[in-house]
Amino acid sequence: MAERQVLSTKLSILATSVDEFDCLVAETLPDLLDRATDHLRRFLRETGQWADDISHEKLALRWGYELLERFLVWGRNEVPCRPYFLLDSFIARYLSQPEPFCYHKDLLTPLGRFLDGVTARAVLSRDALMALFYHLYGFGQGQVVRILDLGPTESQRVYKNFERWRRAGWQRAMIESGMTDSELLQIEDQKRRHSEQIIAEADRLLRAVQDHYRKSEPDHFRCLTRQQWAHMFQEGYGYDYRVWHLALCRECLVVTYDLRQDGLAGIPAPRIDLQFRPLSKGRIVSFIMKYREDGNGAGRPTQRLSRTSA
Amino acid sequence: MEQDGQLSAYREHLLDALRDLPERRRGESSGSLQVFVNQECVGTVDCEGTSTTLLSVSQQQPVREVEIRTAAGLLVGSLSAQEVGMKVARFSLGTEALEVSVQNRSDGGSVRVTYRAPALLWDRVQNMAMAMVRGFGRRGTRVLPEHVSLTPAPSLLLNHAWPKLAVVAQIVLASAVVLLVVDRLTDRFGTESTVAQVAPNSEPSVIKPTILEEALARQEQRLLKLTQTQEAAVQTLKAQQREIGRLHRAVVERERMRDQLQRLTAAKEALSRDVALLEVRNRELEHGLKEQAVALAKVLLPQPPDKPTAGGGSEATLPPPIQPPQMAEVRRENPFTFWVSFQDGTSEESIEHLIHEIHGRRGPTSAGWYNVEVNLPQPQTQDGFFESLKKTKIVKAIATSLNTTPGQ
Repeated sequence: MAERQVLSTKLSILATSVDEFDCLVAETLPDLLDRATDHLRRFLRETGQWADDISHEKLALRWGYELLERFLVWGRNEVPCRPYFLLDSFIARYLSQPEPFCYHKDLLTPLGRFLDGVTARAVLSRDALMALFYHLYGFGQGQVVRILDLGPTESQRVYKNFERWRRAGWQRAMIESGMTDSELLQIEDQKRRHSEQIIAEADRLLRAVQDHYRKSEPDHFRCLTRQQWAHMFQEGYGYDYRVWHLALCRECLVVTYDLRQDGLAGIPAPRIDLQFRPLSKGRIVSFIMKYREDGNGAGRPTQRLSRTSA
Repeated sequence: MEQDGQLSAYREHLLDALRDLPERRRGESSGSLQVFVNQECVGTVDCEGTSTTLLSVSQQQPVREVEIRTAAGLLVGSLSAQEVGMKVARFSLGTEALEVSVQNRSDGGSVRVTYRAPALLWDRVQNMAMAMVRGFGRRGTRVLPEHVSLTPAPSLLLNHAWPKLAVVAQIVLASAVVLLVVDRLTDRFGTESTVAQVAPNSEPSVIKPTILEEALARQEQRLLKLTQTQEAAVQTLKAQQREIGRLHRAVVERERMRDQLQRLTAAKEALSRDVALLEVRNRELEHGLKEQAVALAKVLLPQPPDKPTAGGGSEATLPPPIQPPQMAEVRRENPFTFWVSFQDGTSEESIEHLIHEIHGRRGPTSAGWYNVEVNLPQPQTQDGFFESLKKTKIVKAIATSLNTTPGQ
């Protein structure tokens, strides 16, 4: 009875100004997160995508968090309002869209969550978008610049704040996707022991993940034919197109690499080469040394890895 | 159990991340902001310059929501749009501001994101002055449609702003006076109460003057400050009055120029009318001239020989003279007689000149009326001839017969 009264009181709280809204949501943040998570849990159950395990609980928490983050900014424009009711309507409206989230049962594993986490972040963050080339294929800044045929201006623009990803962005993406240190160690260990197996698994999952998140691109950034890619590179336009699309589409990346492989001496063809952690400053040197020591390293130019490269 | 702990830790991490959001927004430089429409990145807005930048996107689908994120993906602004209509929101990023407006129509939607760089100190002062002149008219954050002008006529501004400025000045002066009075009364009562409290303790005769002196000194200082503040306010008001006077003079000057312009326009129109009349007159004169040429041709036309001249073999063999078209028309002339009177004081010479011009033949004169016979070419009517003749200055009246009333 007392709980019901408390709930009723909470629901009826009215925010009449932006300051009141900020104050209220700051005070009731755990309640709002739980409420959002409950909505997601119910949605997953009703759509037959639920199982009583920690992976699904984490998934509901993560999506609840993402929606609440949006709500905290969006709700400020909706005052006066009752934040609890407003959150309910906000989530209901979001879930009524077609395929609101990328749900795939295999994405609930540590590897799946890693791929889902970095790709989901890449849709929102340019730093994460550029980092995908490293985390998925092991390409450094110099290699990406050559593969995408970026000029100095474009290169500087997309890599300008890349240090931010290494410093905080990656960490935040891992926390938000629910990755723990032990899980990271676990998949790194798997990669060492069963490299082929994990590459095949990542290849399979990556298709599902990239197919889903590529929908977040503008309509005019869809897959191109081989001829269209060739024309774009020959004529030197569509730099944003290349960055946006090729980071999120492995098939097109392979096509463009094939087209331009004569000018990409020393850069291996794009293949899954998962890097679970960002390239730390100390590891840049070893990264360069590794490529120099490789058998085919003679023909491979030293990468122009800047201080801010991943 | 371990799983519960893991889940609980994850929840705490997420809550911490949510709590850190305001701090992250304050700490992160805006740089280049990404604009997401319906969760699709449609472009970026450069926020590093000192000028205003704009991103405008139109699409065939209605806009459901707009999100603004930094390059690192941090959400700094979000807006949901109505199905049809316009919605505007402003997001502040430290000293900078971002304005998002969404316009949804039945056939699609459009988004406009405007980044406004922080204003310089001088710009702010100017804006404040403009706001005062505009009668504090522009309030709130709503963006007006493009067709709505934000710069009304100066005279209108002055008319609206002057009474408000006067009211503000009166309020400021009244507040200053009230504050002064209240301050003095408060000090007086405060001093008296302080003295009353202190007095019973010890040495009233020594402490009382000291306290009074201190209170008086404080009061003087406050009075001095208030006077300075008031002087500053008065100076500001005078400056504003001077500025308004200047604006008023400019407005008067502008109105004077507008009047001159209107007068010039009216004169131009009158001149145009005169020119049109002159053109009509010119055409009539040309027509009259043509008629006179015809009459002249008739006069000059050689009489046809009644009988061939004797011994004029060479002349008899001459071909007949070629008759120009005018000559042919002369043969269709219509001779008639009319009476004409002239203005008083018209000289005989002028009368003769006119009769000569119209190729008339003068007849008898009766009581100031001159009988004239003319040959009218066939196309011209008698009335037309009279009308053109009446326009001559010296002609007073014309009549076909002296028994009828002469037409004016």
